[in-house]
Amino acid sequence: MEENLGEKKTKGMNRRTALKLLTGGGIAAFAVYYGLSHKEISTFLDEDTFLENKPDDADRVIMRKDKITGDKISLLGFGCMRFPVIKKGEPAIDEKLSMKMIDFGYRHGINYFDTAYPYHEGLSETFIGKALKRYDRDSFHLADKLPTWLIESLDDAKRIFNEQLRKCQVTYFDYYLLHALTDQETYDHVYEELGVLEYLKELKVTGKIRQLGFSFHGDLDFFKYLLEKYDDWDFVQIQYNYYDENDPEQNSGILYKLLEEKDIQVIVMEPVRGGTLATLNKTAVAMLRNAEPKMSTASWAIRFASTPKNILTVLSGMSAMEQVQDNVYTMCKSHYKPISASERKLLAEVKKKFVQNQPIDCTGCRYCMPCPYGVDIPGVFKVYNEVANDASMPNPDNQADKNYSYKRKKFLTKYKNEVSRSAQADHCIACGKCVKLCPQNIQIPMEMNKIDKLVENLQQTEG
Amino acid sequence: MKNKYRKIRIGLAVFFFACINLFFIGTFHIFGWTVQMQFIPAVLKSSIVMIVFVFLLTFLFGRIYCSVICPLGVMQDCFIWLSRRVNKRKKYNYSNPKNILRYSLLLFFIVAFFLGGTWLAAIIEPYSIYSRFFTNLFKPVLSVVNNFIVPLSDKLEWYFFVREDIFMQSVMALVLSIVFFIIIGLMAYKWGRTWCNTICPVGSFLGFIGKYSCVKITIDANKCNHCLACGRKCKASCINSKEQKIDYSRCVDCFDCIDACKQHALSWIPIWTGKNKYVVKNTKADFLHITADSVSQENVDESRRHFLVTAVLATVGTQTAIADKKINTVVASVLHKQPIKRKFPILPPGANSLKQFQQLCVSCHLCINKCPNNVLRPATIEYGLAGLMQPMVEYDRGSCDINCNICSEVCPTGAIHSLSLKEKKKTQIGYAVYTPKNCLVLTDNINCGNCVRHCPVNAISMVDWDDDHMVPMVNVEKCIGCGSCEYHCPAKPFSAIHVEGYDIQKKILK
Repeated sequence: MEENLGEKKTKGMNRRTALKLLTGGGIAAFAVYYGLSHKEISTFLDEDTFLENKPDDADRVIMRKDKITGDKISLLGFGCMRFPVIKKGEPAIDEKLSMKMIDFGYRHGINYFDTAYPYHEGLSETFIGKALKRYDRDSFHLADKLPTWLIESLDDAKRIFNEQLRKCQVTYFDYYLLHALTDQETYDHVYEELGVLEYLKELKVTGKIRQLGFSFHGDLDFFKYLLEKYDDWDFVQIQYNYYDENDPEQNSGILYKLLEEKDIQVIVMEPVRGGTLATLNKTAVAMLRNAEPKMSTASWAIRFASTPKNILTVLSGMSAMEQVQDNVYTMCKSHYKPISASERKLLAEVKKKFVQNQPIDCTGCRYCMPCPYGVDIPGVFKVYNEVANDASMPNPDNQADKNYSYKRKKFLTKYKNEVSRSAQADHCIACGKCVKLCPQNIQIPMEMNKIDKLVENLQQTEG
Repeated sequence: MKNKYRKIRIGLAVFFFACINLFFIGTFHIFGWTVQMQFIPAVLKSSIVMIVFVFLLTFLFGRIYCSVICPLGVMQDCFIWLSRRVNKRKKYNYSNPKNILRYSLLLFFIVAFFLGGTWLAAIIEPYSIYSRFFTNLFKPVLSVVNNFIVPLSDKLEWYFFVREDIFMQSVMALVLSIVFFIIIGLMAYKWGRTWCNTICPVGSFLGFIGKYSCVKITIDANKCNHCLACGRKCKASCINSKEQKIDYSRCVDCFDCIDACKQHALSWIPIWTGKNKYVVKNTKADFLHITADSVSQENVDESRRHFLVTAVLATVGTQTAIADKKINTVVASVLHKQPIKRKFPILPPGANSLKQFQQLCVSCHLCINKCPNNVLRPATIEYGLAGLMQPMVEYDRGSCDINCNICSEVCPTGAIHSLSLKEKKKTQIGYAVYTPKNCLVLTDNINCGNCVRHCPVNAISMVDWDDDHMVPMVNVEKCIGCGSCEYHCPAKPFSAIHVEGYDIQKKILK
């Protein structure tokens, strides 16, 4: 009996020591790993800055020729809306890192920079001015945009334009856009009635703008109207990606065709759809990896957007060094290849898988909480995303799927078990309070409605 | 071999009891027949096959029903078994039957039932007592256990256990269940089957048949040495060992006595075998001392025949009475096309009319137990006194799923009529009423429309309230009263849209 006790004692001690060792070791390992990885990145960046000699031509982004000016424009453009920030959710740019990203891109041939008045709440223009000042003005192309929604008189337009020149520390813009045209009424009022378009044409004559275009967010009729109203657009900026190429709301495929017919060159925005096409879900990513093991998920989206011949440049709003590197890798001469017909088919398949299992960008930060109507927003999204990421989202329209009954049961059970009844998506009344609070800009009421409809449909089908 | 009957009885009882409890627990729908076999529900549902079966079973073999099929009886046997385990010398003594009490209770039960006081009769109806125990006492405990298993089950990717809400459904039902559980449990622990033989109306009724049953426990007077062991063993206190008499109206065929007799004087045999001449027949009542010899075979047969005829007539009569009422209500529901505009509790879908529902419902709370959305609750006084503890619909925890007819499927008495899903979708159990003063449009000045979005029959449409706001408008013709709008209405504490029940449910005619 006593022996037994003794044994137990030593055993207990052993376990305790083992636990201590394990915990300590774990913390140490984590610290070392974290320190190393962080150090690795910073050394890489530091070395990169010192790298004076230009990279190989093969490592530079490929160029397309501007049909009007004959300038060579890099097919990858640097979007200035999503620079890394100092504090999440605030506009202040992490200038040191951003500068390095710009330098890296510039050295690898990126010569198109796209900023706008509202980006980073006005800080983007100031920063890009500071960054580009270090380069020869002829070696880069700068695009800026007139914030249509802020113009109430011609004086507003003049004031803002001059402010933009001052902030960007330039004397002219290579590309100037009417920002975010959404409807005919506003366009007619601001650009026709107030005479802002005339003013911009004058600026073009005086050389303060080299080329005039617009960025578009409206419907098809309005687009046709714009093309007919003024037939001297030098370029047009549209959203174009494989996700909503055929989307009835975006019509980007049709928009591109219209522009090609008119021989107007196209600048692509949102090729990665705000980062959505860089993450996708497990199944979709696996399909892409299978086809091109070395290429990133985002590279497909960039390549897709840059494939049509009439596209001048593809803008990517890069917010991390890795993204710049990845994009440059995708678009550099040694790696770039347009999307082939078979790859197009693959992307269509990928999209199908993704639409079925599309996760929501919720990070679970809980800024949206508490919901005034008791909905557990992050909880609902968590369940949805877990299922989506497992590629086991049940589709009530495809009950022939042999796994449907299991998927349905899994989804409903998880949903019921993890979200209490009074906190489920059906209690969302779309008041919209959460939308303003979401740092990921998730359209929470819309997503809630989607999930609610899904649950309803699942409950009405037999398992 | 001599105690094979007892073993069979225990085996069957355990099997039945397990089946009915598995059915109550939830996922085992295949055991629904255990509930369909319960006597009073079968009578109320006019399930002739079951009634004839129970009649025949009892007439042939005695009150096997009470020992095997009745869950309350088996539950009492569990207590009795426990008492014997605790006190190895547990003894029962013969007692005179409390005939006045039991038959007046039986009479009261029947009269209450016929005069529309089913709720009152239900208080002592054995099946519903047990079912109420389950819903109000055992279920919450099981839910707690279930909720413990849930995270584990999900982690292992079984997705078999779904978390259950545990909440107070009705204070009164809970208190009543606890009180009855204690009373019946204690009575069983101390005095065996006393509840069954003095209070239970089914026990009294079957006892009445049991008296004339064909196969009985008989005491061989030649072998009996008057040791009184059988009487002490009898949990029904029905063996008068001193006089070698058995009160068959109280014997529940547990066969414990057969084992107790060291002389092998007891056996379970048909009355027409020779030995029965030693047995005292209690054709009237056992306090009338009639010796075995004075009872002729012919007399017995005569009375049995009389009894059979009476019983059959009584059953037919009862059934006609019930059928009559059913026809009335069906006709009534066709005639009433306009909604009755008055405050009224909502009946479960398939109840057809309040009158019929109250006539048939024995408050067994099985529907409450089974309702997946926690829509059903025991009523307190919502139906008035005459609907005490009968289920009513409440939409604070969910709405009545348009694709669910579980309550109507499980109802053993037919109080909630069996509805196909197609019928269910067209059954109007009430209508929604909009109360603007509670609506968020007025109180919070925002647009909502959650009621419209969740109406499964598109009975609600949005109309302009002012330039910026829309409010719901209910199409009563389309509204089935499922309460989805009421449940999803975000207005607190009072929903801006709520359902008023119909006292006679309607069907949407295309």
